[in-house]
Amino acid sequence: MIEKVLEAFFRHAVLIVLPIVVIPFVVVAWVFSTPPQYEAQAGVWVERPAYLNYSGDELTRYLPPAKVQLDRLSELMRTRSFTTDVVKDSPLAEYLQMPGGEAFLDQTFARDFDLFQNGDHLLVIRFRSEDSATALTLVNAIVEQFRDRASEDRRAQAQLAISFYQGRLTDADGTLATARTALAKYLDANPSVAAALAKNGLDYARLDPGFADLQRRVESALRNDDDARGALSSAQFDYASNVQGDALGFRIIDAAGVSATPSRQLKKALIYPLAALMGGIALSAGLLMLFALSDHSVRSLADLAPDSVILGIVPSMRPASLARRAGPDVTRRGVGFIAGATLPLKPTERKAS
Amino acid sequence: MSDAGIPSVARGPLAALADLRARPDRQQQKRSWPIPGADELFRSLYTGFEVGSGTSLAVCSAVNGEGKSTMCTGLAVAIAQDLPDRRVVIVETDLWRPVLAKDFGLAPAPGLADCLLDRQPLASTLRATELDNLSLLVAGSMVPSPQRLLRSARMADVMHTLRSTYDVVIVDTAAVMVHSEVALIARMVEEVVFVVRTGVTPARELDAALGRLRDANVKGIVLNDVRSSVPRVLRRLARL
Repeated sequence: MIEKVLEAFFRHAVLIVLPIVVIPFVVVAWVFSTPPQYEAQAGVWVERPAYLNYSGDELTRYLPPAKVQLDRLSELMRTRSFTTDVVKDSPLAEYLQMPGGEAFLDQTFARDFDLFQNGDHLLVIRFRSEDSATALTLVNAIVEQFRDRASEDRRAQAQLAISFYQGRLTDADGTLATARTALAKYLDANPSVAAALAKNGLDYARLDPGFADLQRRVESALRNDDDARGALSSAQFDYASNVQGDALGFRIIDAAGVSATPSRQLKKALIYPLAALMGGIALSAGLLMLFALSDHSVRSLADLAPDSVILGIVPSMRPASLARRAGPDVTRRGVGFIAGATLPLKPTERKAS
Repeated sequence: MSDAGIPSVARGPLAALADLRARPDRQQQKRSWPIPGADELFRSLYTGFEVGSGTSLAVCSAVNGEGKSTMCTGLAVAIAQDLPDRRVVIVETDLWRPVLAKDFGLAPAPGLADCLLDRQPLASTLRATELDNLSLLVAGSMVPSPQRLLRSARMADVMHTLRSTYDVVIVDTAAVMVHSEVALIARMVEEVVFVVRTGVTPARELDAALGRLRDANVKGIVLNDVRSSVPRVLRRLARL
């Protein structure tokens, strides 16, 4: 096998070596012909909204807040309304009016926008552009739009939660009042129980089953009332914080900034050519194996059947003195020359004749 | 064409040979093996065939372009040169891709096809060469169905006549896998030499071609055009 591989390599050396030379060369040319890119990045600390703690959403309960928000922002980036809002105050706004501009913007975001979570709470937003101002503007716009949308959603959901918990609190208050009324009526109807309660305390009074049952209802209604009151307070606090623009669940930890020097220059100048070189080598290796494996011709005695009778081995007989002469029959004619075969004429001789 | 404007063929093979010898470019060329070592190579090959009186051998190959005609010419020239008392003839039976007439600067007709069609007697189709004891029977005129001619009884007669007239008859055949008539021709001769050109002959085709010649007396294989693109140093290192 090694013989076939070596033979294939040296037989098709140019074709096999070509990818190793050409692909890195093309990539290096591309790297140095494309303009440098600037990268703007912002880090956002996100929290799960407080009211979600009371939700029964089992899926989101165990996902990190950064993952929840990352999915949300990723989905938003795929919506036209969000990207339009992001772009409208940036240097890319002109594309909104151009035919095919939306497709261009989609391609730009798909290519130059990066979003990833760094831990459970940190969301990193990154944008690359040939212009540092554009990169910075777009990262800021994305963060602002995302915060606005998040705040709006949180406000809407907090309002919904407030309404819900208010209703629940009202119900709990009503239940509590009903329970208390029932307890008072029972005591009025049973003076001995009321006397025992006054004389020996609550524990002795509970020996009466009717009183004990009513007392448990009052205590339960009280607990429900306290829970509803606490949830309502939390939702009201969340709503208040959003209204004030101080969304505790969405804080910009690292404000958007852009590097003074173009980013990824090292990557472009080193990693891409190296990757191209590796790709070229892989392609060449593939070609080499293709040539070696697809060569089913007889190359040596080893390729003949073991019981073959070998009468002789004739080496290649195309002498250098005749090699430059035209025609594929030069060897045969050279062999028959003594008997009168004509040697092919040199090109100059052919012209003269 | 001769100086008199009469085609060489019309004046017979000897006249054509005279024309050949009279060509100024030939006279200037030194008649020696232009390929160093080729004479010794073919000498060693025919020594293995035990050339004697009445030897007839066919040179076959699986596919086209493996060096059958080169092998035929080389063997014939070497035998004719080394054994001047033996009469040698090359018979070109590849009527589909004839080369000998062109190689030797001869008119393509008359030849074997004309003889098989009874247009010409065998004696007039034989061509002389610059070696006195070496003759050529070139393919001849192009005919519409050469396979019929090669399968005819006339072909067997021609072969019989040649074997009785010449000491060594060397038959240049077509490719075995291309034309099935080669198997018939191979049975008309005493021995068959099978040429395998490295890098050209597919191993499967070789097996199939040898299978087609199972009724013939295949003497063995000549591995032709053996060369390696691998540098000698690397070959030694890899023990190839």
